[in-house]
Amino acid sequence: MNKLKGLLFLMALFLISSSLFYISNSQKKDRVIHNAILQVEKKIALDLPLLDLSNEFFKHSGNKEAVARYISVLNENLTNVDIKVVSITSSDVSLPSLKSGQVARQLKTNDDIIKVVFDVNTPLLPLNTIFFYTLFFLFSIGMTLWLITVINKHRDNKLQEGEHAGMSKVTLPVLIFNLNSKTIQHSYNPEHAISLANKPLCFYLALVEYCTTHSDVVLNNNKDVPDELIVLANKYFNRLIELGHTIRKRPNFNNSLEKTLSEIRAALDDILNDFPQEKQRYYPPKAFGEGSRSRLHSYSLKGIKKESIEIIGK
Amino acid sequence: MSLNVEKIIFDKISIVIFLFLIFILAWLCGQLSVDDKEIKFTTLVETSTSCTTTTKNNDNRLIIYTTSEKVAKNLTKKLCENKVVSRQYGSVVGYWGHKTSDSFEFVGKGIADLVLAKSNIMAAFKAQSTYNYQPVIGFSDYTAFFISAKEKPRLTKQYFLDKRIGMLDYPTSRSGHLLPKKTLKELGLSIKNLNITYANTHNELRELLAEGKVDIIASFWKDSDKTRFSENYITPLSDNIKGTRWYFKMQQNNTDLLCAIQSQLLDMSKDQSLHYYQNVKPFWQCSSDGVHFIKGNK
Repeated sequence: MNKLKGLLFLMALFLISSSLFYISNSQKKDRVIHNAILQVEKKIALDLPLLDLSNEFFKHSGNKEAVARYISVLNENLTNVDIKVVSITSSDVSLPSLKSGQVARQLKTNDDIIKVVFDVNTPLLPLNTIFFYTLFFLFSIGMTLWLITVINKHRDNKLQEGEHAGMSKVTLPVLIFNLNSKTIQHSYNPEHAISLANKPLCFYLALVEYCTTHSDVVLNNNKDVPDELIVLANKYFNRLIELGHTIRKRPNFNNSLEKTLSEIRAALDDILNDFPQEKQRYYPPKAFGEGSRSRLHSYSLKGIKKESIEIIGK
Repeated sequence: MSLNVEKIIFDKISIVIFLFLIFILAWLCGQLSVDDKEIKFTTLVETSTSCTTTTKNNDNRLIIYTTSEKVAKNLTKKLCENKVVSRQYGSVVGYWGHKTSDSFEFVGKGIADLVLAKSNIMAAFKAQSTYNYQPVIGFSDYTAFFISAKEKPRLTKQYFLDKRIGMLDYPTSRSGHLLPKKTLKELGLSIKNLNITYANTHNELRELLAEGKVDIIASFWKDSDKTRFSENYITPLSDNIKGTRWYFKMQQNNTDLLCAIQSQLLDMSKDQSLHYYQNVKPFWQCSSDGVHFIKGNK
């Protein structure tokens, strides 16, 4: 959120809250003044028999001084409200035109109309109102700052999320083995599928499973394949028979082990051509140079995990 | 990752809620920033005063009625301090009323124990025989005048025809209302066709004359008038007017109280500033031999 937007938000918030306050305040003020006028009217109405107002019909001139005294005592009672009584006159006295801020009311008796003129003077900007406006301004600033922090945090989170998603894609590539079609695919490039013969396919899947449970095992080319590994390989072969890929007797996995491994490496070479950094994980180590067929060599897969491969049709 | 999303949604919702709360708060502040108190009115028009005597447990009230607020307050206070009144009454209430008809209630129904009234009102209600109102002290008789600012009024029909006349608006006034009207009628003038301006008090009448709003006023003459008007420009109306009197309701032969009140009223009249009110005569002779009505006062 840039500075201009923040400023606009601040102004809008301040304007809305201030106008709400202003509307509410003036509405209440009007109501209070209306109430006060009603109360004063009631009081005057009650005191009307005691007021010496003029009456043309009865040829009564009235006592203007007494009425003026009454109004001044009445106004002493009105110190807490913003209205003052200006005059109380009977109908035979014609009123001067009202000044601004004056309100005239009529009290109808059964034979006369008493006119009461009120002076309504509400202070334009009382002290407590200024206090409230200041409060709303501070509120608006606080609100804007909060909003800015929240929006910034939101943006940061989004960025982080994006990075996170990218990273997870990089770290989670999988080799997909499809038993139905006897193919290998890379999860990043699923269109590129490589077919594999029954024997290397079963042996490689068995080898992955075996190595995930025995991570430190040493598998030497010169020794027989461990029985457990053979059992696993046979299990995968049985599955292939079930899927109807072959009706042949299951092969001897000890025979031509080197050839099986070569076929596996060839297929992996093809699949992992675009992802050379992953070869280390999936590739059964090759013996290099002289004396490579020594006892030290192992074709076990170090660092392979169960999640590293996905088997379809297991 | 899902935690973050939840937090952002939470933040967004809380911002909306917070904005909403601010708006509600703004509205509430507007409502609360204005006080809506009920106005507590004091008594705006006083019509009476009261005080308690030294015997507060006594429920009897001594009721006074006079048209003057000042006299009512003064007399009420004095009577509360009076020993004889204290023995018989628990409190004294002084009414001064606010309109002419009040005197009809107080005198006509015999409500007041002590009342300052004109003889014509006492006569109208036959109060002396009905409630045995007895005069206590009386102010001297006086004469009603037509007073003019520029010439001596003549009591002829032609003279009044084009004059503006000032009179009092209350019909119980003899000098300011009844007698001048009677005089004008005797001259063969119709009140309807005359230009009469009504005022509420004798002082108001004098103001009207001094300001030139009327040519003639009907009133009594007092010493202080010499400063504003000429004594040569007044014409007396034929009748002599009986002065106002204090009447005491004597339903029992309560002579102690009668004498106490009489001496109190005499004391009070000495303090009056107007010469007219200082000039009083008592109606009763109070001595150790007994109480007698002074003859020749009627």
